[in-house]
Amino acid sequence: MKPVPEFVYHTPQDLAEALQLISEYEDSLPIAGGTDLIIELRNGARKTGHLISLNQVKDLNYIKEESGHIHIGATTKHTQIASSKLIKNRASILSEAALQVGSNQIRNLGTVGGNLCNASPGADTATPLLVLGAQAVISSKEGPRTVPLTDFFTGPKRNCLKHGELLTEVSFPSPPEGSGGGFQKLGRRQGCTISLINAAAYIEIESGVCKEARVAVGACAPTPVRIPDVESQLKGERLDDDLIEEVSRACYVLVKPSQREHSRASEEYRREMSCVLMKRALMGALDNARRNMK
Amino acid sequence: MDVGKAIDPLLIDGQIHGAISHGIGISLMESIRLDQGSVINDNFTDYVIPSIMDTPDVAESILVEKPYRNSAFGAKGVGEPAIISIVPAITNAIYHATGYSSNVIPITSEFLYKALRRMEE
Repeated sequence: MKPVPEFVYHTPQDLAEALQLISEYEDSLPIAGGTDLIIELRNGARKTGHLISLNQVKDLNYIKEESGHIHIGATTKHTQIASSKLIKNRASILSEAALQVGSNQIRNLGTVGGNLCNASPGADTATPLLVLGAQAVISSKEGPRTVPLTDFFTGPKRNCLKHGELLTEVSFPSPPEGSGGGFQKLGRRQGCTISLINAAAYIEIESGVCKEARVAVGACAPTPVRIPDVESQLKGERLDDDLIEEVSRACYVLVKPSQREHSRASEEYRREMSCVLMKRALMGALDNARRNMK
Repeated sequence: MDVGKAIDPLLIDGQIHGAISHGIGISLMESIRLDQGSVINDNFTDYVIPSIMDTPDVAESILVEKPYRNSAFGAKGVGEPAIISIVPAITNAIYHATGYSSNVIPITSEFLYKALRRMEE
């Protein structure tokens, strides 16, 4: 195994200190769980002279509900999300997705912020957060700014952070009564697996009619993406299995999977499976929404 | 399984369980992929082997002790022979479920999807 090239390791104790260090060094990189970053440092995909550890920064690790929103700190670990009662009760798809990230060891180290910043097209927490309508809070020495998660990803392994900036929180509106979500993942085995494709759906039902619908797929485009054309065909309709089946078929032409020769799955297979996973995610969402009504 | 003489029954049990997991791997997942002679999946991220989630409960292993006269204590090898029955069991189960009989392994989900598509045509 190749050694990790030499670097200076910093352990700031609070956010202000971390932001200062990140902007101070031109070649700094923040590290939390390191489950992706260490591999990339080892194989040379990324280089750094200064690693800024966020693990001592206590004010980045939390899950809370405040003024109608659920807030999750960037260094909250997948295990914490998967075991949070609040997330399980209010946004169960995020719970399910966090529980399917990698292995136990990875979930105990990996963080939601790291999963998003790493910006893998198949990041498991990205699709549920996209359909929950999440926003990313990005901080720098100049202060925080907020971007919708839809604008956060700019390409495979690329995000919208500029030098000196740090993702500090993701938040989304608390899902109301009559809402429900579904998450589906297809890997090459049942556990500890990378998504060949994943899909998430979120719907709100009011007096039998679909009031809001958001759907997203992962590993089917350069970034995890929402699919507005599917969403618009669901809104205002009375949802049933036939409609969901028909609408999900549209994914085949709407997704844009990688055409790389040695991709983990072929383009055609990803297109076909995006329809299947979308259908299952939507059916799960419909089931949950019905159960979630008074 | 005919083990000749069970010198360490618990170890044999472990070997049989391991063989089932390995058999699942080679029939459904494991393949070395080459690009101009170089292995491109030279890590366990892309050379996929079964996880505990892919392994079913294994019923009791049945040991048959028919001594082999040319070995010490009559014992027979147990490590690899236990895999032999697993692969045809899985490929035949796939044939039974889908009508597709494969003489190629591994039968990954994508491979099976494409094969079933070809059968439809």
